[in-house]
Amino acid sequence: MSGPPQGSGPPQGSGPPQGSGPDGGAAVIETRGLTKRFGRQTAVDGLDLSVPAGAVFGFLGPNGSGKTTTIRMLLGLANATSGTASVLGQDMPGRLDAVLPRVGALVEGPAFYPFLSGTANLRRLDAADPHSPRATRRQRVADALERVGLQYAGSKKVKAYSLGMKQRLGLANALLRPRELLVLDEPTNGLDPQGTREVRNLVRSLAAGGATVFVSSHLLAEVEQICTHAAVMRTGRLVAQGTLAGLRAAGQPLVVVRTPDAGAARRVLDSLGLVPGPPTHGADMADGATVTAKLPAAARDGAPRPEAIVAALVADGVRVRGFSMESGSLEDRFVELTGEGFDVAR
Amino acid sequence: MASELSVMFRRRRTWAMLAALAAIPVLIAVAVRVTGAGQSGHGPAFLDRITQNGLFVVLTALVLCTPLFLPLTVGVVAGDTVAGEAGLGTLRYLLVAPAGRARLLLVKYVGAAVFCLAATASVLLAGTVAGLALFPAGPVPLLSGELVDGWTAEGRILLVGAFVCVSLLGLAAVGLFISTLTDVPVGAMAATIALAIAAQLLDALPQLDWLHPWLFSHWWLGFADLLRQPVEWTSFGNNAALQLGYVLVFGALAYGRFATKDVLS
Amino acid sequence: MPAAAMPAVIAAAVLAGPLQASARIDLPARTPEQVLALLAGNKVQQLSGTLEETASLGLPQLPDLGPGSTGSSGRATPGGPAAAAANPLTAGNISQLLGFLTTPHTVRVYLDGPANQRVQVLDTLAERDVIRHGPTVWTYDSGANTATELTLPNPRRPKTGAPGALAPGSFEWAPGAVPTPAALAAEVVKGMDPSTQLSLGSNTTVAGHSAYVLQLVPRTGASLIGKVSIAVDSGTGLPLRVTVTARGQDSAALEVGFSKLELTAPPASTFLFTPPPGTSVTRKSQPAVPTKPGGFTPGTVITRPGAIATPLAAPAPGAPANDHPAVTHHATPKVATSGTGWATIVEAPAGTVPATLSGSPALAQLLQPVAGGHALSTTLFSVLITPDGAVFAGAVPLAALQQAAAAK
Repeated sequence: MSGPPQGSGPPQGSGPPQGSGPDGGAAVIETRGLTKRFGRQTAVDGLDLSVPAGAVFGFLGPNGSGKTTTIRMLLGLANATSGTASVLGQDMPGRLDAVLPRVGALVEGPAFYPFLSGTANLRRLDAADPHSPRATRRQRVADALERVGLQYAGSKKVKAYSLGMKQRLGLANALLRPRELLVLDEPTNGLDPQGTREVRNLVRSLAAGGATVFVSSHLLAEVEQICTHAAVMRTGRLVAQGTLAGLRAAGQPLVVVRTPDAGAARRVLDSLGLVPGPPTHGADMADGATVTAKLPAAARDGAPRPEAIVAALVADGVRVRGFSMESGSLEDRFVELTGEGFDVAR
Repeated sequence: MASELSVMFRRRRTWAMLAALAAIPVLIAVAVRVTGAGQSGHGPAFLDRITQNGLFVVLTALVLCTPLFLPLTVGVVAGDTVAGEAGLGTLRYLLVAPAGRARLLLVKYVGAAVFCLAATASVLLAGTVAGLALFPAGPVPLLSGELVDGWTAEGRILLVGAFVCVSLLGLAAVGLFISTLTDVPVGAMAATIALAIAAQLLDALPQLDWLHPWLFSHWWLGFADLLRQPVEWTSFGNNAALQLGYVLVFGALAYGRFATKDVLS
Repeated sequence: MPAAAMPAVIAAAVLAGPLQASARIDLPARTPEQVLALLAGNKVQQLSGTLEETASLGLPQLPDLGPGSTGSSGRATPGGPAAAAANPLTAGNISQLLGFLTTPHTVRVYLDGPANQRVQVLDTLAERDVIRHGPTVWTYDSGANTATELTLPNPRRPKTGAPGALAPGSFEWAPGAVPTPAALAAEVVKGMDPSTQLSLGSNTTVAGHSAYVLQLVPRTGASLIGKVSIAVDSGTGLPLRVTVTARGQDSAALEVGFSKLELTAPPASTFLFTPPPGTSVTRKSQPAVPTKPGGFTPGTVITRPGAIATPLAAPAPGAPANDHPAVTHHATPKVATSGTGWATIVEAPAGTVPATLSGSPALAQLLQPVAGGHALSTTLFSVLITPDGAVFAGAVPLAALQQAAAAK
């Protein structure tokens, strides 16, 4: 089904050196040069994804960056134009029948028969797999509904459900059987803050149970709170992947100096090879200004230690009232990587 | 399979269509009862016989339903098979369950075939009940002029029902194939129904007589051959062979299309 | 891509199914004359079979003309069979005749000796039957819900005399325009003259019976008929299929043949008929007719189209069969012929076609105004109706008819 792997593909998503891969365990999802074209449009371009076992993997990217297309290829819904994918150690879509029963999925929002009740919908989808045990179906459906807090709405027709309830029902569908891998595409879409929190807890408990969770999202906060690993997509290409800590560290650390002597501080920082921004003044002018400076990527290895910076500032007579080193937020990193921020790509 | 049928028969639309089909013989029976026997030779075949024997209600209804109403409902169900799931988005969940594409297609087709049976049965049942409730029963004259008793006649009518049901299987396969081409169920339904009508139009054009034996609608009204004495089985056999051919060809086309299709709905 | 190839493979298999390789059929070698003698010696008295009749005469094809249209005869003759008998040339009758000439038909035939015959014309959702049992002949039309009972004066014996004058296996009481292969073959052979070139085609199989193929080709160029092929059952001499090809054409203009044939007696009940309740029944008895009127058997209409004038003056197929001897009897004496053999032209004098007929829409659709009247031109025969109601017809080009008419 899949074409030959790309021998000399375009330069792959430049993962930061320290976030280079799974930290132990076999990869649960592994793709090599995975590419999908629709006509002349390339939706996914040479993707090399590696999701380690047991990870809660955040799959980040603006809308339209190819996340859902990737998920469709991983689940055998769409055929790759070229490249290969393996899920749970087996070829996809070649070994689809063996792989998919072990995977729970929520793809591009929930979808149900509006004229059936929530319970009937889950039974129908469970029965769609010829190997799912019929004897335990009733119980498993009830358990899944309870797990997502829908135990009282199971007999209602789905057309009476709110978006959030449908989203929960979609999660329940993914949880009908014990799964080794959960692929959740935008799982908190349409949920209120309470629901979002519940989903987070759910994901954590699933991960605690040993499952690998692959969560796609365009919301950073979500990924930041629950994920151990993340990958960032931009216009069909993977631009970074690794542990969350690694990704954060890969961002440019920021030096923050609070001082009344803004000019002098900037001069000193500049001379140390940092790139200071314009001073910002707090509400209390007497307290002085805040000067931030980025550490350029080129100078990262030979950069001065924080204590050396403070010493240099003090030595130059800058009245240092506050000093901190901040590793960049993931959001900064995200914006930095995707360029377009949260705009829809292309 | 059970789940497929339960989904179909838990749909209000399915029941509405079956009820509409059942209403046709009832309407015919009531209309004839109220207005009296039609003039001989006018209106659809068998209409003028109803006042003599209630079982002709079923046959009149089948004459009306076979070219139009039955294909209409079968077109809706068959066109909906895959496109309907795609339209709802449930197709992707069925496939990741995983239902298996070939198996899903097979189950969908069997579902459509069961609907063909239910639709025919609905006309047959409603017609028999309405006919016997409003008109006398008793021996039934066959097309050849022979009289047969009521039970034999009912047996013949069941055969006719089987013929009509088989007649619809080819259309259902065509609908299944069209349904794999699109994510818009209404489009697939409309295309299937349009094809059913187009096939009958082509069948009426004598200039295309070389094409006629290949049209899935060609034998649709051949069920009358089962009402002759002795029974003429040729059209039943020809029809069954033709429909089987359509099922195989369009089933294979549907599989060829669906097995490699990107499900993006 | 196996998935993509599969439909193609299945389609090929399905389409290849009906196409069977035609194997050579080995039969003892015979001369055309021997086959002709075999045909003449046909003594089949018992059979059940299904006939397929197709015609492509180059007539404008009018789908709603066929007898399959609901109740055509009942609608067309509001006065019922009696009215039809009084005025055989009704639009309904004409359209039934034309129906037989333009649309294919399936006819089941049953035969058990000369006294038991049944013909069933299988129309869509309807059926027309002629059942002869001894001296009683029933006709039944399920679409019109009418039946006619005719009592013959004395049981008929199989005809003797000229070979094929009434070949066993033909149906003399069949509805007018149901040409059985036997009837057609009889007409063709009867009309055969020295100008006919006789040969044998390659052997064939018709309805599971191996057959010789007798080919008759008119030597004259004056006829529209190019070739007549008769498939003759190698065992019994029964004509199984007659194919008439127009001059210069490859495909058959007219073909009548068995699609199913069993040479066994049908159940006796086949020939017992009682009209079902609710049928409007007409009863008649036929006066003794000294001879069967010549020149009008169903086959004549097409194979000896010279006789087209007579069917026009006689009741058309839908009308009760019993009427036609009387009417033809009345009409035939005036008919004259000119020309010979395949190019014979038949002339019926002025007044044969009533003026009212010009109002027949069915006929109007087929007749073209030409010099000297109105004409019907087909690939096999032509008919010219002059303004005074005279009819000229023959298996000849229209121009020959116009010449004959002008010569009057």
